Amino acid sequence: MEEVRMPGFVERFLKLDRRIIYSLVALAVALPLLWPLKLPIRVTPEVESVFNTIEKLPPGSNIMMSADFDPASQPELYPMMKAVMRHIARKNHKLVITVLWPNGPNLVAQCIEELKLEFPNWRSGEDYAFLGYQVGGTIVIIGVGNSFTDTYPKDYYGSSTAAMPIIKQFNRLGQADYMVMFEAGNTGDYWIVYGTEVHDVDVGGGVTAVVAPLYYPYLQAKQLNGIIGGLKGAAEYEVLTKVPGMATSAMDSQSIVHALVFFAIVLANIFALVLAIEKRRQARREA
Amino acid sequence: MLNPAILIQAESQLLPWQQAMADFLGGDVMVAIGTWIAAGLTLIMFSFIYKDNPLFRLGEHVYLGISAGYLMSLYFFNNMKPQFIYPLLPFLDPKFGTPEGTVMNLWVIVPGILGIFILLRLVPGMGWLSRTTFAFYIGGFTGISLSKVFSGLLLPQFYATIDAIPYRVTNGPEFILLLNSLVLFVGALTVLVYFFFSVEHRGFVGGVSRVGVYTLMIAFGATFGYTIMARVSLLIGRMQFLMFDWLHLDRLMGRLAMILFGGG
Amino acid sequence: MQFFRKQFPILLAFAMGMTMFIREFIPSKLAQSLYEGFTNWAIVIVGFSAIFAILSLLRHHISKVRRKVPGYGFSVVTIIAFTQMLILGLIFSVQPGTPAGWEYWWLFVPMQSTMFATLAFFIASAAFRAFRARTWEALALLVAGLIVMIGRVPIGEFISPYLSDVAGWIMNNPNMAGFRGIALGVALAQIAIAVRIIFGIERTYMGGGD
Repeated sequence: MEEVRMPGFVERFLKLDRRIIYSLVALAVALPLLWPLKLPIRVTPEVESVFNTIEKLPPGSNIMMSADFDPASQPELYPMMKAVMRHIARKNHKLVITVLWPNGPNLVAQCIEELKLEFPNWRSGEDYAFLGYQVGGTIVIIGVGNSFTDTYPKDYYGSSTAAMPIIKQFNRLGQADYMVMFEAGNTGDYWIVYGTEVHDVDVGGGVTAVVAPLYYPYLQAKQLNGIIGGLKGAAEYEVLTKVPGMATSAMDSQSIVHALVFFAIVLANIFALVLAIEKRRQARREA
Repeated sequence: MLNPAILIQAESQLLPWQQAMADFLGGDVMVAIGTWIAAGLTLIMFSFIYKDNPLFRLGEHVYLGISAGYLMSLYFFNNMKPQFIYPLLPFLDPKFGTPEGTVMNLWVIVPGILGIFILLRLVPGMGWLSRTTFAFYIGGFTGISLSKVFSGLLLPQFYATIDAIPYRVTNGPEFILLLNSLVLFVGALTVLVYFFFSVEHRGFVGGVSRVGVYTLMIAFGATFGYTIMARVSLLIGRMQFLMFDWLHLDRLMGRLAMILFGGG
Repeated sequence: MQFFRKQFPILLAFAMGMTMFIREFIPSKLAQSLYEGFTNWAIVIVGFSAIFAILSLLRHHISKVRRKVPGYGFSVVTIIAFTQMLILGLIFSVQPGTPAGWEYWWLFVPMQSTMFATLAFFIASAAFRAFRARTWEALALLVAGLIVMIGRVPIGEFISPYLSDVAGWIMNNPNMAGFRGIALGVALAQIAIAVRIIFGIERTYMGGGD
């Protein structure tokens, strides 16, 4: 069959070297970090719901938090976890934190230490308890539904949980007024099924963008009262708490890369369609 | 970049030598060394984008070893010690004899023995003992999950699907609600029909399952869009580290701006 | 002995499964004690299984070194990295402010983060080179993906607030419906598998052994 003749740039575009694509992506990330566009960030109802719930709880309410992620998801979940923990500390709520992913506890410890610079009176054992990591996944969720002290006899720092004032008033999941979970996988499904549904606790989810679409059924079924999805969700929460952080500064890069990929896919499909039409015309001419 | 060695002394209950070690590891010198090592490893890992190479393989195996060592230590401190060793031998607990000390509980011998059965899988000829442990754990867990999945997942999701249909239809903005309700109800139902492979997808069933396929395609398209967001977020995180924590480009740009445009 | 190798585990799984299921419907102190006791014991067992996983990994690499398979030098690196991290971790713990904590932050975190960050390049390249709407289904996937991709970031909201609204509608309606169907299917499958395990029809979870 005779070779199809197309304008050279269409062919060259469709066969673009992947190194050029990689370079464009790298530039699209780097340049807005150096020269921010400061595009406005619009808050979605899903994120606002989590914020409003924490905001409206009376001071001193019990909040359970589970940080189930590792360094691979840190850029997305760390900023939102920090923004939510800052909000909780500001409202003087009592916070108990667990971790179900083994590579996560040091990240949470780091976040707590950074927040203690902003809230010097925030005390371990009184205002918050960081229980740390426990092996078991779903079994740990069932365990914290029974008792924090049985599942976590010692906290992350090695102190006895039974002796903590906060644990004396808040010793199991059912005593939580609200729960926030930060999920990089499907551990959130288990928290809902084995934890919050069993003990009738409202829960909001901070999730990576990869798994965010999977949690929308829970939102519609009111098993989840809000979703903070991905880095954009983290930026929205920073806007609501009026403390811009890592997520807000990353939004411009996010926007530019998305626009780059968007136009690349659209153009590639248009050119592929043009190529297909030309092939068909060629075939008809030959016939 | 976050400083990994901040530990507020008043809260941390560290001994003096531990505090000295933490101060040293969190000091400027060790943070600078760590930043350069982290930057080097980041670039080594990024080298895979060009092609697989021995440096990347080396980094991969270092990562594997460090990860395994870290996890083993973590399991020992967070699980073995408080849940098994201290209840069995409470005098090993540093807080033994105080109200915060661990209370003896000899019943942990039973799960301990079951746990050792799992470790015996490494010994040729003894692996069959682990079946008892798996039967105990998996059997018990599935008994719990049977009712929890039914009441915590199946029923609420099913009810929410049915509940999506409004009980009365009116004009005005509620038309959008009706459209949403129909999409939710019809979409969920048709997806379920698509996954029911015991009936051939022909005729009416075939038509219904086609609608399910399109619903799934839209859902996967949304997932694709969000996945792009997720992966780009991770890249932004690493670029922020390389540009600002390692190369201090933010300070460089600031100085350049002052030189070019002047300043106080 | 054959009984303990083959029949006993199946009977035990049945007994445990039925006990924990029936206990759900008996509100008594004994039922609650059974529940709490099983949970506490299970946490100990899972700890051992986690350690077993790491020891298996180590055994694999030691075996490669012993047999001197091509590339066994990398296995030596893994074993050395593991050993030094384990020793430091057991002596000083793995929290921030310790040598193991330092290694975690400056070696482990950058490597794991970067491994996943490289996916951004690959997904952008793959999307450009391979994502073609050759069928109506692919077109539906493409259009939904593009709208969500651009509508859920500030630039999309800047171009038009309707983009963000449409993206939100897609997430809350057809996306939700699609994953709702999948969730219902998964729930039914989980129940079916649970019944099969309790009644001994499904035995693959027991693993091999002798």
